[in-house]
Amino acid sequence: MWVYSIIFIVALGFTTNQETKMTTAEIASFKQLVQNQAKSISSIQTDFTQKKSMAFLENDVISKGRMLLNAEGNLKWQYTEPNKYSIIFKNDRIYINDNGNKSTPSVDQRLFNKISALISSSIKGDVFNDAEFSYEYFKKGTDILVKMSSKDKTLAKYIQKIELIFPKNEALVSQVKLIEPSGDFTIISFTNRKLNAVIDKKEFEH
Amino acid sequence: MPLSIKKNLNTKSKFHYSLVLSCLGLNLIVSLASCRHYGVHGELMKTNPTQIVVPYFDSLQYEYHYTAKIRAYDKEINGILVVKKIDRLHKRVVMLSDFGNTIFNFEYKNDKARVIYVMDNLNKKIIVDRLLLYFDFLSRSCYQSSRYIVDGELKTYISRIRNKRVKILQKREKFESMSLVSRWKEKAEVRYYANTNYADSIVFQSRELPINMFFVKRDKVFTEDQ
Repeated sequence: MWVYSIIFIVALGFTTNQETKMTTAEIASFKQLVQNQAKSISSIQTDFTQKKSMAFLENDVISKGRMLLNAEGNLKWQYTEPNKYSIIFKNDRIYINDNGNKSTPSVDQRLFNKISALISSSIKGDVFNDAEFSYEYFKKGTDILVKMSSKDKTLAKYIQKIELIFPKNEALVSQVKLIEPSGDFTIISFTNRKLNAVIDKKEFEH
Repeated sequence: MPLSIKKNLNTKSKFHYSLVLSCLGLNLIVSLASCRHYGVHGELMKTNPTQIVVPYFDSLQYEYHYTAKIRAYDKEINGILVVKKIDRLHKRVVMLSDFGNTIFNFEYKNDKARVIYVMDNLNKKIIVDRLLLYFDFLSRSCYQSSRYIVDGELKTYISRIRNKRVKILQKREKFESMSLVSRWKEKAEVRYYANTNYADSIVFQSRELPINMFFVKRDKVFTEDQ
């Protein structure tokens, strides 16, 4: 009897983690839900946890903080742990505030702007029409998993794939996974989201 | 001076030319004798090959995480530095951007360096060579030396890293500072600010190129359940 129990438990686990491709109708319905939601969002405030996993490391490199996105499309990543540090993306420029030391890095602004734009549009779910990616849609347990593969060769050198997880019946992303060509990846998970709350303009001042 | 020019000089000029050459030669000999080791005064001693341990980045399998700020020429790169010493002669040094994507990923094994990954816009031989040298230098914990210079309670061991000369200063047998030097001048210096063997901050300064690097220990290492 216990053998059947083990088989059942393993099978259940396998089923809940299994990825099954969505039908065309399911994809259309899901995209409609997400795009309708995206249109109604003027601002987002959310906490995040960022975990970088590398094959040779036993411990992930973890950062925590909060993210703010306003109606003008300005984005602020405010790291609070382990170090206080913030990055503002505003008018295609990057501004850094490192414990009061302010700077505007000139290295790779285009790449980081692209990554930031991808993450912010992913959070809003307004990401399915980017010509630089091909898309695949899956059901994974109760969640929906969207796999984006870079078609652009330059971007693919840095980020080969992006995986977005949408919880059941939700139009907002709860997790973004950025996968590098080496297989190493970064997972950004979002919690405590507030939509359409007024965000003080001072948050985006540098 | 080319031979054709020398032939056109008159006798007085030839004398001045010889005098200048003699002075230069004398100067060179004096320089060679006095600058045997750049900036180090004291008595040179020889010993059997000895292992000198720099206490930082010395724990096997430990993962060192630092917030990093690199200023090179007029550019600035911010991110996270991760160093892991896998065994005595094997380590990994990785620099990540704030968003976690890899800027460079180096492996050092048996004194050989391998580039596993480097971002496209840094992937130029001259830059990669410098990065390989500088990051090996600031994260290496074991050096072999058979020569040192004694000056009172100061002892300076002379060693090599990737065919470059390294000067390791000890005061009363305790590590003080470390420099990358040539016979003629200091090339780079690294200073560790620490209360334990996991340095709180590290300052690296190149003296040959406009490159400064600052590293601050990331206060907490989270575990999976946090």
